[in-house]
Amino acid sequence: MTGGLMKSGGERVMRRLCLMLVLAAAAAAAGCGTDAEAPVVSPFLEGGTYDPRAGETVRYVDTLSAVHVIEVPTGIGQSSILKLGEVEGIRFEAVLMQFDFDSIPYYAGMTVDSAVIDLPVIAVQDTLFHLGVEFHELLGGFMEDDTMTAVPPYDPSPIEGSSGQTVLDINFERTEFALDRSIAQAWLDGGAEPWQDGIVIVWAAEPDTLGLVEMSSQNRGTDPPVLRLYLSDGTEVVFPVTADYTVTRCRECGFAVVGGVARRIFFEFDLAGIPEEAILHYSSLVLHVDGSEGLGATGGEILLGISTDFYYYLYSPDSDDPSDPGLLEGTGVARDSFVPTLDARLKIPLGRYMIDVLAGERTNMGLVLQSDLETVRVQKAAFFTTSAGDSLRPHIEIVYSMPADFGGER
Amino acid sequence: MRGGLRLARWTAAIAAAAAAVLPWPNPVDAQSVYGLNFIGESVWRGCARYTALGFSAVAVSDTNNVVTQNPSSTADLRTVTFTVHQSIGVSRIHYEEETSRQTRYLLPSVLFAVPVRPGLVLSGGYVTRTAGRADFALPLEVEGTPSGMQNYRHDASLFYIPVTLAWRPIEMLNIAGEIRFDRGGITDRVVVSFDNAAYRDVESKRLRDFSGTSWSASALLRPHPRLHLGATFEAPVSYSIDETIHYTEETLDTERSLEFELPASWSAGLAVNVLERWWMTASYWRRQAPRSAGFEWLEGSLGEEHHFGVGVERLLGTSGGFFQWIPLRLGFSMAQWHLEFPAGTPVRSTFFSIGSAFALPGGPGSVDVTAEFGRVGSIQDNGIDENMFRLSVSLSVSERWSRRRTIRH
Repeated sequence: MTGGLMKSGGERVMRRLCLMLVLAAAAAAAGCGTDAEAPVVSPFLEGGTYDPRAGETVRYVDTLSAVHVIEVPTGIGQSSILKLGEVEGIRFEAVLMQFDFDSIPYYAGMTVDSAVIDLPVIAVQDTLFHLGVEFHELLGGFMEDDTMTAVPPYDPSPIEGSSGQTVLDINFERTEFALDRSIAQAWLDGGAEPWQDGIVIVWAAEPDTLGLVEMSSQNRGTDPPVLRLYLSDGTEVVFPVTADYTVTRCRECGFAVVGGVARRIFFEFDLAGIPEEAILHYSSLVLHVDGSEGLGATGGEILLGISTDFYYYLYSPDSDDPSDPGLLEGTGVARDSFVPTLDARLKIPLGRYMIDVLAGERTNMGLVLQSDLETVRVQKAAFFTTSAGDSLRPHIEIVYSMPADFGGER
Repeated sequence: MRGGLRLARWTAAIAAAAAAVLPWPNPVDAQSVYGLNFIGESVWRGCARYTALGFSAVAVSDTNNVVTQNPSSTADLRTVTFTVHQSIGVSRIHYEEETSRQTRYLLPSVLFAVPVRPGLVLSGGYVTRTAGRADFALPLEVEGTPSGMQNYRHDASLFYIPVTLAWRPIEMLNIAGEIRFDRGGITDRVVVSFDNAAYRDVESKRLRDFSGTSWSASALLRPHPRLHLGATFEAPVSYSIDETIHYTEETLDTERSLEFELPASWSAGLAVNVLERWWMTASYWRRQAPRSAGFEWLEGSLGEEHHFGVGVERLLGTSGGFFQWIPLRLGFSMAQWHLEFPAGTPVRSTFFSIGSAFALPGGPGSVDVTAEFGRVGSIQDNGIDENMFRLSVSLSVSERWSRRRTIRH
């Protein structure tokens, strides 16, 4: 009996001891944690007992086999702002206007005291900047939906002013052009048709310094350009603009993507140096933005709260032939924005596109960069060219690894 | 009333066994760093009692669990028995000036047995044959890119599902035959990654699925009450291996089939009752060198595998004080691995072990606990050594241990 009690008590003690041992060991093991194995397993890798080997990882840089600037015949109407002048090589060389003259018959036989074209200037790039302009009657009509890359035909004889002058020197303080009253009087008397196709305002001469004058467009919704007639009985007749348009061209845009004009850059590159079995980690089109040549938004656009960011769209064209219209269309690769007025390195990730190209699922037709607001806004993003130094010139960057080697099976 | 109590005890015991198994994150992780080879480290068959005896117990016949070194000994089981064996290992690895602490887990075996009639027992379950693992990363530096890593992961586990029939035709002889459904796999994964989410990981992964069928035979002879002899034989295992290599780019994927043979092995041992409760045991196990077919990079690095163990066991007492009645087990073992590292230089391991056991609290069966201390490899010969401490716990749900102690121990 006593022996049985001892056994029973002893067994309980044993159980407790073992339980404590197990718990202590588990706690110790949990507390010990696990260190990195890498330092102590390296001899198995080096000695060949453990056979997998990560494939070589390479950063491949292609400095682009060819780069082309593509001029796309594009012009944009329906802007909120009309512009005259030049900024960052983009020349705003003419403003077209059409007026609503439907009310003229109501004023037949009345006497015109004076007539002015009122241009609602909202911003001048430099307060000292002024630009001499002439007014001409257009010889053909236009619509804001038109694509105009050049000034349409107009009467070479400028419209005369009230004092016989033909040039208005526009600056921030003087925005009215006083017309020869006889022109308007002839409209009321039925002796002449009002400007049926509208007028064009063009530069009278190249200014000493270049700048930009911006004025409200009829698309802004308030304060549009108007033609005012002041009649002898004190009546003021206003003929508002019903359509207006800024004719723009790239005069000296350099290596740049420009919206509104439009101008794109076509990059061609060669992937022959990349092994067929390479597996891509990352790829990008790397460009260095030349902020001194960029245009995000004009002063007038900033006043209207329009973004200064440059929105780009990168696509893989349907054709790599610069003369083929297929170059202007393709499959999107990337779309984002950046600040075009700051010097910076722009890395446009190529994502799935490059993976597919390397896998042979897509053909390498190059890449085309354009403004994503090409038909909406005039913006410019300039880049350092292929002749710039290694750190600045555009290139394609590809980081890839070769497949792991499992015992020489690959 | 008694039937309900018995059912409750069984339920509690099985629940405890299941709970003991579930927490382990990976059933084959408690391996030495030398397991970083093609099939890993050999896992000796036997529960914590056999571990405590240095796996010297091929001739030990008295058992109340299924995970034995000699399957024929299970012919002595008299009730439905379920055994789960698991271990946790803590080690410190040394290589030149580097050290690394590792904590690893292992679930070597889960087996159950059903006596068909006295002396004829059918058993089956899961037995780990070999296991190996590694998970490490090496820094990657490529000019002009974010910092990166080459991440390696190796998981190897060969196991079998045994179906064993053990028979005691006469009192002095047990014999057993076993059909084994051999399965397993080796996965090697290499991932190159960068510390930048814009960079895609590049993964290369080789999967090798092993399948085969083998058999084994074992015998236990008791020519004298104080002398037991045991032997086992495991036939070669001819594995069919389906290999697939997957890459991040699927177009590069490859597949192939190959064959691999794990050579036959045998063991023999004896157990001698030197005093009333004291037994001495010794066993020797050997397997020929596997051929390197399918593992060509190991050509010249594979050798014969040996294991030798001796042990002393004091069985349960029925009288005396606390230290008189508890079972006590001591063991010593030496093994030579199949891996030679570097080529031509065998890897050897040496372990000392100590263990005991107690009845399963509140239920039928017992819990065996063993602590092992040892070293794998040597700085002088292999360049790396690993000092290990392993704690093994086996839970066996069987007949009441107290009953066995009065009848057999």
